[in-house]
Amino acid sequence: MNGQMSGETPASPNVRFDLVSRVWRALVAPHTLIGLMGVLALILGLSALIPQIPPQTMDDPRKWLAAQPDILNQTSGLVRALGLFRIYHSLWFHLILALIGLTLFVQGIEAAELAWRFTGRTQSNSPTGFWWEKPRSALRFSSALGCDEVVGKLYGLLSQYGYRWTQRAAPPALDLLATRRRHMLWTRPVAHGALLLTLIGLFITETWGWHSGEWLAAPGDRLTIGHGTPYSVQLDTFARPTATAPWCDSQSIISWREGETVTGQSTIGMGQPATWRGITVRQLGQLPVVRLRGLDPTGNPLAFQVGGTDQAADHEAEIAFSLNENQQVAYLPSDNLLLSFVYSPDPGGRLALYVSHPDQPDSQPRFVTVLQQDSRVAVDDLQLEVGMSYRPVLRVDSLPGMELAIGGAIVAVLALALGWIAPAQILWSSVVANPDGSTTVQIFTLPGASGSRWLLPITRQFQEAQVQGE
Amino acid sequence: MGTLVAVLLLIIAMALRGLAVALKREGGLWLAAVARLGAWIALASSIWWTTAASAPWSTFHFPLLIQSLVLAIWAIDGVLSWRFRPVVIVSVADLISLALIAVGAFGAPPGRVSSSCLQSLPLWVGQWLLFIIGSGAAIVAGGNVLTSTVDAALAGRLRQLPRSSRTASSVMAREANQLTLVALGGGLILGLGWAWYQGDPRLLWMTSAWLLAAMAFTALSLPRGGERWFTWLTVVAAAVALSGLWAAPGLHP
Repeated sequence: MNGQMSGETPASPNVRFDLVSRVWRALVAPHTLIGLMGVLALILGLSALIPQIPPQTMDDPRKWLAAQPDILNQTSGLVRALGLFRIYHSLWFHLILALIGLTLFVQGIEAAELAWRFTGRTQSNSPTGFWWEKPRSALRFSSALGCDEVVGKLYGLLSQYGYRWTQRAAPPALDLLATRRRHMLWTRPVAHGALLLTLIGLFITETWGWHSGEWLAAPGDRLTIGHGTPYSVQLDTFARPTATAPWCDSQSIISWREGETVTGQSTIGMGQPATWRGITVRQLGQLPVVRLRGLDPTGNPLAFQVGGTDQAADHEAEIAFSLNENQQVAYLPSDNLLLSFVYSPDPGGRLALYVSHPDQPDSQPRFVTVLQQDSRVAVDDLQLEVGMSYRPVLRVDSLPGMELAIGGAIVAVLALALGWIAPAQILWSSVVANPDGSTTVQIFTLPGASGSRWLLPITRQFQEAQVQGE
Repeated sequence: MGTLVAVLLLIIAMALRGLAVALKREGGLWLAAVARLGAWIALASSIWWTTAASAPWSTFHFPLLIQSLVLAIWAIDGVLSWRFRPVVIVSVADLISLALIAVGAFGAPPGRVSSSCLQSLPLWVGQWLLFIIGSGAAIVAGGNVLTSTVDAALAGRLRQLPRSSRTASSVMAREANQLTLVALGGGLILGLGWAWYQGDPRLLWMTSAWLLAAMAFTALSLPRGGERWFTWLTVVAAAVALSGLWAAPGLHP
């Protein structure tokens, strides 16, 4: 039974090929890449404007959403439906990235084919047969000079600019292909391929990577790596190289452990991460920890409340700054005094102490001193002993694929830079002798090359030749 | 003071160039170039003086950031102008520079020093240097496509303006567009390591600006309307790069 008898028409190989060909041509069209890049740029802009759910609050996103500004709460239904609070994890974002990857792949193949045509053993001398079938006319003019004279000027000009040419047809309808630095045509497929590798690397990182979040560690603290593994990392020490060095120069010594066995030790600092079996520990900064003790005028120890007035007062208090907090307070119930510690994390770190009375809300907090090291501070008739130390902000992560992403991006930018600094120069020239003795010259280039800097002087000289000819 | 001198010298350079083009006196162009160089030196001295005397250079110190951006714009525009010799009465890039300096002097939020130890790392400094160069190049590209458009409109009324001046502005825009791709791309590579754990939204804006510049670059291959798309995309890329450098962090709710 054939298809016609059963009323069905089976897809012939030609039809299937035609469909693939259509999809291929759609992906190869510059419009497709422009459109996809536009959507990606729009998404990135949106993600900068709409706050994204932080990984640490992923368990209870409603609570996080309730803390957002009203305007986001009011529109949260639509924003949530579109997945705009988690753009980078949405299905459609991955779909767009996949489409961009496919487009880069297809365009890279086409660009490689173009480069092969011009640099292979059987060099192309025809601009036809590809999607750029219609090369751009960069210049067209008629000269009163005879054909031989114009061709002589043309060859002279091409030699002057270092072109190699292949004559495809002899006068009176001379047709020639002139090339210079044609091997640089490979920069485009290399850039496309490298960008594709970057995308793949970022996809691997996003899918299989993980991080611990910020870890504010004290010496001796240990963090288990992964779930149910015997591996952990421990902060052994954290100190500045010298007592007077800025805190930005401080370094952490960490030890890698398997159970209780120390398998290695590393020193890390800002911009100096340490890696062990694909796990990286980075030092993101440091935050101060203040220990407080004090005596009243009669010599009795002071009691401090930290973390709210419902907390028990203690004679020794420890105030640890956490991320995104630049102010911490301690309350002295006996004297109704509020001690405020304000931290500015500029290089070196600056911790300032202010005091105020909570029952006088209109009064401005009074500046007392800047704390830089362990010190004794007098506040009114009270004596405070302030001990200062810093804790590093660490982060443990595994970013598989990041090397691939960075390597791909480096190659892509280098290829773009090379293609810009030393572009491939491809010209087709057609010289036609007219019946009236004049000559018509037309110069074509590849799409995208029209108006390039390398074309500017040559077209100028042709125009001057035209004027002289007239 | 240095900024004021720079602005005055730039205005003199603009006036000299406009007169030289209108009166077809090449000597005026040379004087304009000298005045422009003087403006660049005055602005560079002003930045150096500010960083040495009061505030260290920081990406969060908006007046300094804008001045650095203007310095990059003048350097890129100056080099490209020297190379391609556009004959234009008014350069839009110059007008944008003046507007930026005015915003930096009167409209920018007060500067503050760095908020992170990352600021002292060479990679971080390199990243922002490349971002400033890339954003400057994006603005030069946007300015030159607008200059080319304005020039085309003027040429319709003033026939004496040579067509080659439009071509030179257009070529300058293409060169600046490619510099944008390379410089912003380089900055993004340096930032790729940080971006994974530093939530600076400016990286996202810079990525968007890079994508828009890449769109403009690709638009030149379009069979029809490529120049028009290149013009608009280049202008939008410049606007996004500027937002990324300056305004965007404050927009985040």
